[in-house]
Amino acid sequence: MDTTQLLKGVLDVAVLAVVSDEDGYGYDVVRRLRGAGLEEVGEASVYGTLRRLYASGALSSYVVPSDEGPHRKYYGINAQGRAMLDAQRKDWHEFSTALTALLDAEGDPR
Amino acid sequence: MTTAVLLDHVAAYASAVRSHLRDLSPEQVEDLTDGLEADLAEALEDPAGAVTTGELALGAVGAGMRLGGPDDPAAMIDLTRRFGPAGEYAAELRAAAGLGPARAAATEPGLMRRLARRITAERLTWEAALQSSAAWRTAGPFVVSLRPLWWVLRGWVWFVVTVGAFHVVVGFHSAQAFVPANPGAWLLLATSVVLSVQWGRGLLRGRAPVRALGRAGNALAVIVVLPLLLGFMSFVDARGVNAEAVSYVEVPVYEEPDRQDGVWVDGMQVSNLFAYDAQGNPLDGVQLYDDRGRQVQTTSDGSWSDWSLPGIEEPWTFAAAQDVDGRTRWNVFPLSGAPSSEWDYDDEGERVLSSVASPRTPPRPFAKAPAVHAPEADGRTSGTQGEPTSDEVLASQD
Repeated sequence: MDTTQLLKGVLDVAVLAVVSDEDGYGYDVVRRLRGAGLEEVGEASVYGTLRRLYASGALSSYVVPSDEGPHRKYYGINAQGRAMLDAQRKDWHEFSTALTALLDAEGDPR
Repeated sequence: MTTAVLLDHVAAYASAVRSHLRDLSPEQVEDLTDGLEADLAEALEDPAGAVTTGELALGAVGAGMRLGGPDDPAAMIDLTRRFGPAGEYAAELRAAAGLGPARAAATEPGLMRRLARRITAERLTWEAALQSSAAWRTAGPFVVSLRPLWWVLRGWVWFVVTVGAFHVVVGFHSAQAFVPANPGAWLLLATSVVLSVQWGRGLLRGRAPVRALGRAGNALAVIVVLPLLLGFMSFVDARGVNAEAVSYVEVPVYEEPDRQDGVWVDGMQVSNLFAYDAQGNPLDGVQLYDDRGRQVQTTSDGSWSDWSLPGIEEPWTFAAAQDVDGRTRWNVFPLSGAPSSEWDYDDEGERVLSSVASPRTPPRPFAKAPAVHAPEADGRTSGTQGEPTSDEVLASQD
């Protein structure tokens, strides 16, 4: 199964979940997603998602200067983001429960 | 790999990505790519970074290298191998951000603008590739350090082009334009060099028209610098090492005509002189000298010239007299001669009177001149006397 296609649909909620744990910058979020098992997540996709969530008001952001290199842009979740995360988490559970039931039901007769 | 070198490559790649987002507003591009360099740099340095499709974890490759891996060193810092082509990276970024694909045909820009964007995008891609290459790491800093030399050269090119255009306008074609020939030209050269250097230092980037003018000037200089240098070298060659090489140049020269021998009356050269005595009678065999004792000669051409005489259709050629010592004398007047047709050439190529002809005195202007009162040596006038003796003529000249 092409998991990259699956990822596209759930990247928002995955990113929101990662950032809700702790504020993070672009590659930090990528690393945490990959550490959580989403190996094939695209870096640019994560960065774009972070920007989009920020633009829609779900995330806040701040810049941390670096002594020896380019500055980092950190993202943190806000109240609107938490509400969005809760809603999507609920949606995902319903969806995954339904799909699991469907797949398991078809597999049982064997 | 040092962090500074790494950051150069990262910056080049990031700017290539930004170039693919040019259809967005500057604020959107900034919002989308702010912090991109930090993320790229960290991704490169993460040895444990998971490798997604087509990506290489830089740390892993670097470790392999140090263990003697045969991998091309350039691959280590070819960011497109780690992140993919900048265009695809930008597309993924904007798609994830919900901005949709690049609006290629939404607002169809003019041909020139599209071309300029295309060139810029290509240039940035090439720059990113170039700066990621191993050769650039070796030669890049050296090439960059030569930039001031190019600025000065570019100033000179602008000067030559300006002067050349000026020459075409005013219509000089032979004048060279490579080296200033007067203070004004030196001033122009200094001005263009200063402009070029200041432009190169980035001090003149003003509004868009200024930038466009600067870029056009730079492109022009790049195109014509080689032909100009070749022209300049042949100019130096022609002036210096190969000075003996013949070249024909038309130059107006104002020179005074040579002072010519002869007698002139009213701006016209005299062919013959006729002497009359005080009574107005014509004299033959009169020797003329000036006040320094030099012979007065109307010609001494060795009978080579043909003279046009008043009232005679055929040209005449004069013969010299001989003195008693056998010397040729051209100051004995009137000169005798003969029509040119009666002259031949002898075996030695000299012009001689043909055997049937004999020299004769050309027609006199008049048979007799008016008589004059000539002062005598003793105070008497000669008007009452007969023909004077040659002694008396001599006496009257004293």
